[in-house]
Amino acid sequence: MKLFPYIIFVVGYYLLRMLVSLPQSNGFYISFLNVGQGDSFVISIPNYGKVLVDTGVDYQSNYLSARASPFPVCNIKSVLITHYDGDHAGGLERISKFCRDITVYDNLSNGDVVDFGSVKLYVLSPPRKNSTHQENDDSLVMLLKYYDFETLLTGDAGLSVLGPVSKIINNYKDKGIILGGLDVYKVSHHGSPYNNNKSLVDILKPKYCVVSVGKNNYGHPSKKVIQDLAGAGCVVQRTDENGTITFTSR
Amino acid sequence: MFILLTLWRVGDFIDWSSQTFIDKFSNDFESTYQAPVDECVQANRLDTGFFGGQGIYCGFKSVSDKFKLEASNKIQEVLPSPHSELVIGMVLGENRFKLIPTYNDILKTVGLVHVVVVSGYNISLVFTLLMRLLGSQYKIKNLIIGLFCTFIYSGISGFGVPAIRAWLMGSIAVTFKFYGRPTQGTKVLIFSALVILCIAPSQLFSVSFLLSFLATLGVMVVPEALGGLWSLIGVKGKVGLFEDFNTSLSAQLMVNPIISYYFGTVSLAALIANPLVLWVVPLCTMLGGALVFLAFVSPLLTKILALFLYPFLDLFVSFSEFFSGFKSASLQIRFSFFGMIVYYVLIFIAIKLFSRAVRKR
Repeated sequence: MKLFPYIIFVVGYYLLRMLVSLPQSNGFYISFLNVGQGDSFVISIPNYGKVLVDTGVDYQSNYLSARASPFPVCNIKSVLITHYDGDHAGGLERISKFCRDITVYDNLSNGDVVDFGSVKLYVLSPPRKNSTHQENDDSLVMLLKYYDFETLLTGDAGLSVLGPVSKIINNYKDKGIILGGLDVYKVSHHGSPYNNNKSLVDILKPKYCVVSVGKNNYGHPSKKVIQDLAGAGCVVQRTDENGTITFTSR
Repeated sequence: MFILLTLWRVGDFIDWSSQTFIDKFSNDFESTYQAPVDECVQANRLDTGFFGGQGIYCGFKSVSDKFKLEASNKIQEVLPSPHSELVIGMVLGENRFKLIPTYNDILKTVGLVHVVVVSGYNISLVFTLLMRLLGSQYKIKNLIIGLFCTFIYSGISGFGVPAIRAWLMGSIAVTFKFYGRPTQGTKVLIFSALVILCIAPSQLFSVSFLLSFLATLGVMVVPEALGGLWSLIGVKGKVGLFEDFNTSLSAQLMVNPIISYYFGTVSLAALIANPLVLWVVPLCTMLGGALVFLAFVSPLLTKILALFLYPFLDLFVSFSEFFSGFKSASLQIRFSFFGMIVYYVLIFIAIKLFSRAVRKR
């Protein structure tokens, strides 16, 4: 067997991967991964590394996060699980085999702040400690803050959770912890009509609304939800139509 | 077994070279050769019955399952998903794609699910490696060791139909070669099918059995007829991608009606995806085999080899994901039983006519 063409292929592959991944590798960004019907986001944090929020159904978050670097090495330092539904935590076992030294955060509640240096995650829900995170309403709802860039991650939280969350956000605004005028709003539960809190969107006035959704039989995302978001002046982005969606900030 | 060797006479020829493409076209990984795990557990044979009948099988299965699980865990530490599952499937025939159904669907859509089956290529690779280690294959001791080890290997892979068929065909071919007797591929294939049907007659109605044998038959007899067809319409090409396309088309022509009859789909993307990615499969199988071996020896060397293997696996994954994205990658067509029979009658007539035309020329 002639090895030379194979070696050329391998070297060429890694050079190409380095060219593609270098511009993104060190700065801040948040990528909403196209993992089908499920949630998974990568947050790249300067001087820390990459944090994964939810893992999607099966292999995609593992694959896509590995692809963020040129070499097949684990580049995830921490994982946050919003709740233990299959479409949010199904890939956790796979990730934990490939990434041996990750820290998994799955027992946070309102008032906790996860400090990653330049990025802070303010946990707004669930209200109580020791939540099982088995139900949609036990989802972690978090506000991500990187300087003046703010994103609300809602998991699958329902109306009974998102109502109090809007009050907490108002308190945070009053205290000057957050600025308000959200940059990105992750629409709850893949755009389900039962999780559509229009007043929250009106308060937050997000610039971009991301629906993490794939092929499904539930009718996600609901047309009404999309209309409400667009009506509030939000640019709607969907992972099933736009693929992986990345936001950066300097 | 040797009583039936009268099927062949001096002058017959077994074409063993086509075995590198042996039927990787099985969509159904269930095999009646596998004693159900529950049966093994219920019979409580794992501890007590190691020396008899099903007990031997259950004991062997228990050991091979542990080995496969351990190997899978080690490979998953150095390769992400679905790359690690591909390696495990190609090398050990372990279908772990049921745990990642999204990628399993992708493989089905693009007609590439057959790569995760242990078949002719794997068996011939293991046999060749053994012969390199042992010396000449013309020594009876080496031959017996080779056949025994490849049988154990097909057992580790779960005694799937493709593995058993490939082992039978390979065994006959090397035994004939040992005795200096020429053989013919199609006859060996038919003989292997008869042996399997004698042992397990219900296999005649197994999708895995039908796909395995029809794909192999397609690879053996259709390319010559296709050559006649191409020359009739003025297409010339005998190398590289065109040859892979021809081989892939040959197998597809034979298996698609069965897939359509049982599963109600026909993969159009398979015709393009197969020639584009199949060249990486032998390489990945070889390197993957070395990776599984090294995983039990040296973690550092495993990581280094994984770096070399990853680009080829990634090419496979990227192509399969890309082709599955097309709306018409897989068509929803269901053949009726009568339609399927008519199709096979027509295709065998066409093969006969075109092959005859080629031979006349």
